[in-house]
Amino acid sequence: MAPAAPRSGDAIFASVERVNAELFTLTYGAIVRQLLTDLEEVEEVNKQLDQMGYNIGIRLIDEFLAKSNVSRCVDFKETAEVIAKVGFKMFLGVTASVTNWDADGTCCSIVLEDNPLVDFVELPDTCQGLYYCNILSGVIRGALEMVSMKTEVTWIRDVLRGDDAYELQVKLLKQVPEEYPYKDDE
Amino acid sequence: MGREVSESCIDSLLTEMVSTYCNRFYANKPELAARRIEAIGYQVGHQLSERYTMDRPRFSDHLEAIKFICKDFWSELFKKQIDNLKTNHRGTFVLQDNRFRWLTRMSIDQSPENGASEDTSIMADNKAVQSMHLYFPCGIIRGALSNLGIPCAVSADISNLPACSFVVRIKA
Amino acid sequence: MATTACFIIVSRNDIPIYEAEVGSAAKREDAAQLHQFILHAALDIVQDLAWTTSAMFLKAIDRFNDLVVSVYVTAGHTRFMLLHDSRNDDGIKSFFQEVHELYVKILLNPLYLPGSRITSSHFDTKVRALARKYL
Repeated sequence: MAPAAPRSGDAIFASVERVNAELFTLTYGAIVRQLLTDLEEVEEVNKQLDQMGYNIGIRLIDEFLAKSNVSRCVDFKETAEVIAKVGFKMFLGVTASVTNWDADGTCCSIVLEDNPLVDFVELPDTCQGLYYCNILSGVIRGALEMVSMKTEVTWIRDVLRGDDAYELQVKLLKQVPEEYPYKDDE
Repeated sequence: MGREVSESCIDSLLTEMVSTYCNRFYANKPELAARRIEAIGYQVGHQLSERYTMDRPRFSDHLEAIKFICKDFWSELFKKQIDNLKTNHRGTFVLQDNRFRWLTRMSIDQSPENGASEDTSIMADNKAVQSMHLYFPCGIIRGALSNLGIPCAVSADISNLPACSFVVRIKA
Repeated sequence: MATTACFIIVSRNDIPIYEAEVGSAAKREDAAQLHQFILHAALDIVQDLAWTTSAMFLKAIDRFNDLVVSVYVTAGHTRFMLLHDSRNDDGIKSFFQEVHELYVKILLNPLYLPGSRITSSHFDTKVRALARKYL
């Protein structure tokens, strides 16, 4: 099954350069706030956050593969596990779990109980349609696209909207077999 | 101390923020892009200066507040202090970081894959990207000082890379 | 517990951004108005005093009959003002310090506009609980 046993996310996180999470959290928050000011429409802000995440994801995948020793994930099931257990841990320092698989193994949920992006955040009434963490769904979509998996990522639960956890549904649309990732020209 | 995230998170986020504002939103209006990036930094600095002054007495003069930025504040952000502080005693302060983290990390990312292709236009491009990035820390410093009751203008000087100097001009 | 205690937060631009009657006395509209009036009148004294000391907690800076005004000034010049009839300085100081922590959390919310009214019900509940504990 697993091509090369991925190092645990904890070990990688312990070995990488780390920074004060407050700086990261507040920088992300200030970007969201500036986007709300500049774009006015909450829907448009959701779209831009997703786009930013996508652009980050397609760049972050190389670092992820290099540091995690995951050479290539064979199937989608394994890939989802690696994202949750290794990916979230090595970048954000939190672990996620994978649940709610559908029968044919092409759709699952990644559940986060702890999420450094939202420390201190309370959504005001004017931002009710905002998917504050939408950058995360973009990152996952972008990163997976670079390993030939076309996905659709949507929010199912969001603590800022009153739910008890963060739940992202990842749905595999198409798996392009063995195609080399595009060279980096947008 | 509190929670940490990987440094790649903040690096990726800053790179993407600069690219979003410079290449997508205001591709032909760099001064508008710069103002937005500075504003994002301003908010962060404003928040963090209130946060990091919670357990200390209030500042009684400008120099004390600037020293706080150089020491405690910078350490929280970059795990090191500002290396050199100069002032003309007339409201201008120069804060020099000999190896400014965000520039050294960035120049690694930006370096072309083979040195041969490194022509002047790429160099010029790099400079432009770097100065865009610097609006963010300039905004952080200005936001922090404004919150402490010191209105000022902040600019960055990178003529001695990888050192970076932040020039703070306090408004009378 | 203090029978009278009126607590307000004033932004650096002298705008009140939070008010609460936290004493045990029965709430009366006209009393609340008088309390806030007294606190606002004391703002000038705070203004002058804040520049002469680096201490955050300034106790009993003003008086009105048997009521006393105590103040806490943050590094960002947000002022916490309390009109009270109790003489429990340690309690008041602890109250201010813990409200400061709550206030910083509000300020760290990226979607909160600094200097705008604090509308969080969570904050309000916590402040009232602190008042019961310390005042």
